[in-house]
Amino acid sequence: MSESSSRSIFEKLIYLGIATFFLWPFVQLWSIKAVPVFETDTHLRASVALENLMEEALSRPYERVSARSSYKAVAGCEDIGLQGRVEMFPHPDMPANVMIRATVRWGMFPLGKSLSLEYLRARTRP
Amino acid sequence: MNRRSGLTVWEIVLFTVFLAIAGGASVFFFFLNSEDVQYAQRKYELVQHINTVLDAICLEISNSAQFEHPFNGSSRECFFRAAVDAGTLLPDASREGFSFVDNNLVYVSRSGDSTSSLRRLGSFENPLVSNCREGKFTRISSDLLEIRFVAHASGFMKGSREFVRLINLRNR
Repeated sequence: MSESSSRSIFEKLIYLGIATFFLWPFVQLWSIKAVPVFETDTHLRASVALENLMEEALSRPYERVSARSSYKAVAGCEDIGLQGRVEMFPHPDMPANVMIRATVRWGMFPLGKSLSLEYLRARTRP
Repeated sequence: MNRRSGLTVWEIVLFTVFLAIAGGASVFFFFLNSEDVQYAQRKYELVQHINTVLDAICLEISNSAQFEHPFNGSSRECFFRAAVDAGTLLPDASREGFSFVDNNLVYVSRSGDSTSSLRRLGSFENPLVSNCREGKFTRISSDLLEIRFVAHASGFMKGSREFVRLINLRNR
């Protein structure tokens, strides 16, 4: 190859491969939901709050809450900005059953996270 | 003649990027090894252990055949007739329960004439949770029970954390 010519396509591919090899782990970090060192505690608290929300919903008698209920702040978790909601609606495939779904969310919009828990229950209680 | 000499611009850019990544990574690994992170991990381990124990307690109480104490209000202990694998009930005089005694949460079993804490709850030994204060069981409604206590970290760790669990009593 003469010295005056620019880099060949083969050289460019090699550079691209090297760059990908170095940068790929950082690309993968994007897909992790919680970085273990920093955010597990928030995650744990959110999951406990979610369980409490579900237990409270289960202890109430069946009531028809609209499927689009709004988020409310969870008591005791205001410092992490946790919001939760409970939805109750007839199961789309099994009309004799009621679906109860509790959801909590926290964080700002682009980095927001949410956890949800679902429970299938007979419409008439024993 | 356009003769190449030395480094081109984008080689310098690439070199700088790799240098930045290597520097950032080494700083990050030093941070991972630091005392602060290890302390945070130990504290997290403690909180997770308490939560695991509370999961087992909630399961035991929510599946109890008959929940008896507290009937209303709050108490430092709770008693119930446990569900047995065979689907039958234990003799009427025997109860199982959880109690906050001497800043510990213990699993107790009470028969007609005695109360003993020599039981194991699944894989957990008594006391289930140690160094916890202000523990109480509150009957919020006929089928909703709340456990609340403040766990203090022991030994070299500082700080405390309040744990609250709601339990739906399924066989009320």
